Amino acid sequence: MSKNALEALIAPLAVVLAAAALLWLVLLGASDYLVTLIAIVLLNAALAVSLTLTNGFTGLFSLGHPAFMTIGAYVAAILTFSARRKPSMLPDLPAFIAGLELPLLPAVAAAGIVGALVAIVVGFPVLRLRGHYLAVATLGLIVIVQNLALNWDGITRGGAGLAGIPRLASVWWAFGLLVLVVAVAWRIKFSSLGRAMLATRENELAAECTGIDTVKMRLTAFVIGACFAAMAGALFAHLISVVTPKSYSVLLAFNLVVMVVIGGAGSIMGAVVAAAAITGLSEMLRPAEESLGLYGFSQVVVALSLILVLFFRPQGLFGNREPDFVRRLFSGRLFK
Amino acid sequence: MLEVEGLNVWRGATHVLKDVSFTVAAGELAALIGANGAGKSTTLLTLSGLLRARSGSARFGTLDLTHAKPERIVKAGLIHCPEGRQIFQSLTVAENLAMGAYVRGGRIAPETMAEIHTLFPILKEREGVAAGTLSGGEQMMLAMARALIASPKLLLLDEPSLGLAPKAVETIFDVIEALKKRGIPILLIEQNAAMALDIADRAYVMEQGRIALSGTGRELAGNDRVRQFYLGAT
Amino acid sequence: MTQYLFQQLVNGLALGSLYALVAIGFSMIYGIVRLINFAHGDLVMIGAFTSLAMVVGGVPWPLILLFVLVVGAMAGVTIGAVIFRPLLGAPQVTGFIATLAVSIVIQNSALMILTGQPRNFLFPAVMRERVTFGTVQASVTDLLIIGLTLVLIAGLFFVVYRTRLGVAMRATAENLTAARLMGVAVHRTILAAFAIGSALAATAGLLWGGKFGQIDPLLGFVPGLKAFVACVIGGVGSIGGAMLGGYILGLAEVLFVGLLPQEFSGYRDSFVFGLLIVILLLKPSGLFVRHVEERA
Repeated sequence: MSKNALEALIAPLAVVLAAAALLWLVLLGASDYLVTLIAIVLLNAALAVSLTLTNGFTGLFSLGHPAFMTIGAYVAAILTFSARRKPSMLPDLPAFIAGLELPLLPAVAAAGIVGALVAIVVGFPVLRLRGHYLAVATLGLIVIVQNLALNWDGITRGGAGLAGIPRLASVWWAFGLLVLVVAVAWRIKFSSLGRAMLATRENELAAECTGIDTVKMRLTAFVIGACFAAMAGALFAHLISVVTPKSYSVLLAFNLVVMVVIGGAGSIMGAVVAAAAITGLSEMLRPAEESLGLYGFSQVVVALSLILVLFFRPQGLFGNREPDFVRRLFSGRLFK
Repeated sequence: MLEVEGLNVWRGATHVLKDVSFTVAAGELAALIGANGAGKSTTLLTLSGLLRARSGSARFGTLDLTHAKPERIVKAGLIHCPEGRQIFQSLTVAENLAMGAYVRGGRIAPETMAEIHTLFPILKEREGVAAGTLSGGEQMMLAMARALIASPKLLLLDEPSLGLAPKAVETIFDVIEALKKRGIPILLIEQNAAMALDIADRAYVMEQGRIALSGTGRELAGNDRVRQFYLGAT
Repeated sequence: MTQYLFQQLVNGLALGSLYALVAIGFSMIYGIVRLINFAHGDLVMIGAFTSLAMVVGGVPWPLILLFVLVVGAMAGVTIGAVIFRPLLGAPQVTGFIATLAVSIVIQNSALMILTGQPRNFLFPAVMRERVTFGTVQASVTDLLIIGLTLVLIAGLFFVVYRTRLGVAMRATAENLTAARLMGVAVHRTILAAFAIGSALAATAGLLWGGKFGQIDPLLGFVPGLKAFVACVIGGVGSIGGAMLGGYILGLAEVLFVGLLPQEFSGYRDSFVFGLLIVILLLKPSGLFVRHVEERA
């Protein structure tokens, strides 16, 4: 590695360390509830960034994240589950998997790979078509995945879901995933690949005329997003120790879309900020919802705020840009 | 009949029409010629109420065209036959004609229909087929017929000869002359400046969003500048 | 065996009728504003609960049908006015994110008002009888669904192909600018398409409640999605295609469940959406449309 490349790594690394130190300080005094909430915020941020990678960079409109999360959660959970209990609980597992009991890291990696493979199979036919086909096909994918998880008893335990998944993940795993997703998204965005994706989004025909394979761009963005979604699903399952066919629903897909739109489609930092804001807002409205018995209220608020944003500031918080301050921070030129 | 005074129109960030003023009198055929992008089509779209002027006025009789809704303008008898024909390809020929009569309830009086069929015999033969299957010249005739059925008090024709075979161009111009003889006022946009000036009572040359020259058709046809830039004389 | 097959056929046609009613409106709206209306399925729910409220209030059935049509049309016009006017000219994606948001608002408002508890929905007793034709039998409910759908579709085709409004709707769908130049008030025409399509979907809700006997605030999601599948089968944007797509989907679904062994029946929805992906792969313009119409 050249000296310059090393230098370029120092600033982002310092930012990550500073963020980690900050998180550590916050966690010192945090209640269990707050720790879990922070972990969920971090995972939602990772999901929102991965969705902005898929939808924001190339102008796709995928709603498939919950499907990939479900896939990732089941794959990882099956791999980490106690080898002693597996044969009786999940009788249809092939013997070589039933005997496995992996640590979290390889299980999450496997989840990501399976998620990416499914994305290739689904994305290949659908991405040749326009945006709205993908939206509905990915909604269909959610239904298919939930339907399979519900009916494939011997591997998923059906509607009851998998409970008692070892609690291997923690807020630090969530932090790690967010760092990974942001790093990858950032690298892509400010590279020739990212510019090719943006060209695909802005003017498909013009992009193709300059030799960009737009279908490949979309597929790449879709598959990377799916891979991260599956990994996030895996971490969620190992954080709350349970996954059912209905854990990750269309509503989640909608909320992720809200985060991306409000943050600004294509803006990485926008997605992080919006994810924290929306997750926090829903959490704050929850006590009101429960005491009044008005279930659905917080979701109505979120949806209405999205409609307002679409009408009055359709480009979202940051458009597809990153705030200057953050760009300088990551390039180590904060005070220049 | 039509009086345009100091019209300024923007499309997005571009100032397309700059202080455009012109008139079309009753019974008159006026031609608007000019290069691509000079603002001719923008002028017509503004008159039809599809684009809004930032300043200036356009009056058709007593109707203020800069504020009236498009459907009100059509009702008043200002009929726009747009560039590129814009017929409804998936509708039948008969349905396209019925769309011409839309503001008057979609019904076409038998004598109007008979008149149309004398002008454009081909349309009678093709009544029931989808308009998209017609040839380019036939589609143009359909577009003009559709405009005529709206019984125009002023007809805006945008590039009627564009992309047509020479024979079809001749037919179209014959029809335009026939309409002129009947006293229907016409504002004609044409890239075929020679043919347009030949039949125009009055003509305007548009350059970069402004009316650069005006006069009778004959005067402009004799103008050196017009001859050099628009009639291809050397 | 004949009885079994006949019953499957009637069942499939009834289900297909419901899909067709929803799909036609979906396709009409798509055809005219190039917008996937995710809130369209929720009109099924609105229609179902409107009917239930009136059944409880003792309103006679023919009046209920009329009322559901009107309520559906009004709800559709509201959705169209809220979503479409402010977003005219915005990128397509913005439009369907907005309809998705409207759908979430409708579903969750319904949850707030009605709670998630499913409610029983009963047609009058006569509807649960069965009629005999020679050696075979069919339920009155299914026959009513099939018959009423045919009547509504016939009415729709009359409006779309034989009236001034219908010609204007088709003209607007094809070329908005040219339609405006003909003096069509396109906003009103577009809202008319929302009204008609939504009235059909709401009627499907009335019939849906009658066929399945239970309704809840989220019931619109699956019919909405399946209506899209039906549209894809028939070619998105085509009314006739949406209708045929609905019938094909209903029959295929019933045959899938009826002819395969019992343990596969849970996979019914996977089958439907798997079919969607296969059709998108093989014939993205639909089975009945000759030219591919693609507008970004």
